[in-house]
Formats: sequence, structure tokens, C-alpha cells
Amino acid sequence: MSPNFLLLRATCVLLGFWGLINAAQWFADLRQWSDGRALGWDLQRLRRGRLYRANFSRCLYNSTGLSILAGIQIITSVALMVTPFSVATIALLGCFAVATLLLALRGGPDGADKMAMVVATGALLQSFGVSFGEQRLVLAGVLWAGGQLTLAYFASGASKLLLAPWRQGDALEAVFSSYMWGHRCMAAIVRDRGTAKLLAWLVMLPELTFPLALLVPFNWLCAILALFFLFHMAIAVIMGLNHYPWAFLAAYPSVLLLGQWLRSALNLN
Amino acid sequence: MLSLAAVVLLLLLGLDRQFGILGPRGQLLDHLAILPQWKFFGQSQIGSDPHCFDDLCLLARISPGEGKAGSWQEVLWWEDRPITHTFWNPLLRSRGAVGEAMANLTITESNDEQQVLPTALTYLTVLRQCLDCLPTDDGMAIQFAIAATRGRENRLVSLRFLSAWHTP
Repeated sequence: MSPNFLLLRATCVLLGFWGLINAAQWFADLRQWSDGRALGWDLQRLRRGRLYRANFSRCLYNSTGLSILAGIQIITSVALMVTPFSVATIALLGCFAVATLLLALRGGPDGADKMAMVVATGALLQSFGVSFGEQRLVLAGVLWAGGQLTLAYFASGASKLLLAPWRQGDALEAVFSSYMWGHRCMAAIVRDRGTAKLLAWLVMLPELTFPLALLVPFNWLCAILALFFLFHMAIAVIMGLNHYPWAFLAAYPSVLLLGQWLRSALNLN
Repeated sequence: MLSLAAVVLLLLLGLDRQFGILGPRGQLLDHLAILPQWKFFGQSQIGSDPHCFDDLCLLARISPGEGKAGSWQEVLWWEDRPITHTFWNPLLRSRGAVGEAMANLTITESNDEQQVLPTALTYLTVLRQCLDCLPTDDGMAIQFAIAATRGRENRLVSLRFLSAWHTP
């Protein structure tokens, strides 16, 4: 079995795991999004934009429509996780991507939603490539998912570095000391200004320099990605952003392939 | 080859998009994950607004009528995060959406003297959240307030927004 194929399979399994958590959380909180409630579509459709005003959106985004969308995401997620790769995987990825997009637009997409959509699109391109023997489509899919993850880390590090409160540690201290985004243990740790500043730089610098990781040998890249996954897990514990680790982890197989191809192209192997 | 060129072009455009403020069209491309913007707590307002990580709490009170007002009750507030949120946090999205409406309300209506347009979507979202949590009977009125606190020690509470009285 080719590494392309194995890594695509890993992407589908991880994407499915993210989809399961996401859809289950939608189901658990469906009441809050039903008509008559604060986030009901009867009120939220007054937002500006064609999608919000369109008639079909009323059927799509009432509680029944949301249940159906979340149901589609659960079914496609399970199927992506358990069924072996075939041409049907393309249809599954397509349904998964559409359900993810429609759910994300309803709630206002967060970073995990956007990464999941990017990975799903990348996996779709790779699946077409694998199924029809088009290596360029595989490369395009890998480049899309891996490139966006690299861009996400780099942009996140750079945008923080441009802000004085981040460079001085004040922003990190404020985030971790809040009840909305923080945690009592981290609040105690960042009470010391020097520690807060050190931690802020320990977040910004690895994010900023992540693109260079694509050039290191495969095993090193695996180790770096493992550290980034631990970082996401730490964020999940501290900030409660529980679906982020899995959406980002789903992009890692593409980053591994992208790294290998870059090293080959630059004769670094 | 076309697909590869399109992906490269989108990635380059995406890199360009990261450091600007998105207009409505840019926001749509961001929401569709075609040209996503990745900030993760690196939004530019952090540099100018020292209050952007304050905890906003939603309070409401009910008037049974005749000019009387009940005591303030918490409608949406934040507590210590349980460890279970690492794996299961279903309220993340809805609390975030209502919290965002509250934050928008405090930003757009920061001038205390300014009258709020009751048709504003954010206002109605927050008002509905209060009505969901504190049901009122006929003839009763409800008023809500958004209060801010910062940090975990010696927390000072400041009032950010006070609504008018509403009869459902």
C-alpha cells in the first residue's frame, strides 16, 4: 500500500472522529438553536446576507433541519472511519463537507470548522486523484490541506507577534486569568509577569517558525507535529476548545506528505 | 495542472488575507474556508482594547408591575472550567454566540447616553436569552444588564450596558 493511500485513510478516520464530536455536540445543544430561542433561526435569519434571507434556509436551519444535518454528519463520519477506501469515499467526503459547511454557517464557523472544511476538501481532491490515478490531484489535495495548516500556524504566530500585549505577556495573562477562556491552574502560573511573557513567546515562536518544520527529516517532523498536538490538547484542557485538536490532527497526514515531497524536490533526502 | 495552480494561487491569496481587516466579501470567503483567516487570539483589537478579555456576565431582573423591580439574577456567567470540557463541551457554540452578541452590544453601545435601537439583532438575541431563562407572566417587565469583571482576584464589577424595560 502506498504512503499516499495510508495517509489519506488516516485523514478520513481523524476527520470522522472530529465530525462525530461536532455533530454530537450540535445534537446535545439543539434546543438553544430552535425557533423562539435566543439563537433560533426565526430571529437569526435577520442577519445581513443572501444565505440568511433565502427561503430554503428556514427549512434547513430550523431544529428539524439542524437535526438532519447533524445526523448526516454522524452517518458520514462513522462511514469515513470504518469503511475501506473506495470510490464511495468520494461521495462520503462530499456529503461530509456539505454538512460541515452548512452547520458551520449556522453557528458562525470557528477555526476548527474551517480547518475541518479545508481538510475535507483536500481529502476529496486526494480521493479523486487516488481513484482515477491522477497524481497531480493528489498533490493538489495534499498541498491545500498541508499548506493551509502551515499558513494557519504561521499567521497565528505572526499576528500575535505584531501585538505589543502578546509580546509583553499581558494578553496571555489576560486570557488565562479570565473565566471564559482561562483555567484556575494557568491563572496561578501566569500571575508572575516573567512566566506569562515566557509562555507567550513559547506559543508565538513555534507557530511562526512552523513552515521551516516542513524541511526537516520525516521523523523530526513527526515529533514536531506530536508537540503541536499536545499544544492543542493543552488548549482543550485550559480553554475548553475540545474539537480543535481533532480538526488540526486530521491535517497532519497531509503535512507529513507535503514535507516529504518538499524535501525530495529540494534534494534534501 | 490547473488544480495545482488553483491551489497555489489560493494559498498565496490566503497569505495576503491574513493581516488585513476583512470586508463582507472577504468574510464570506473566510466562512466558506476558501480563503480562511487564521488569527487565534491574535485579532488586531487586542492591541487597542485592554478590556477585550474581560468576562462579560448577563444579568436580568423582573418587575412585577407598579414601578417595582426585583433583584438581579445571573442569566449567563462563567465559572471554573470542569476537566470534562476537554472532551465534551456542547454549550461551547451557543454560549459563544450569545457571548459574542453581548460583546458586540457593549462595543456598539459604549456611549451610555445613546439610546439603543430595539431592532438591533444583537440586542434581541440577548433579550431573548433573558426571556428564555427568566420567563415572565403577563404584565411583567424585564430589564437586562451586561457586567464585566477581570481576572480572578479582587474582581471589580463594572456595568457595561443597561437595557430598557421590556414587556414580552
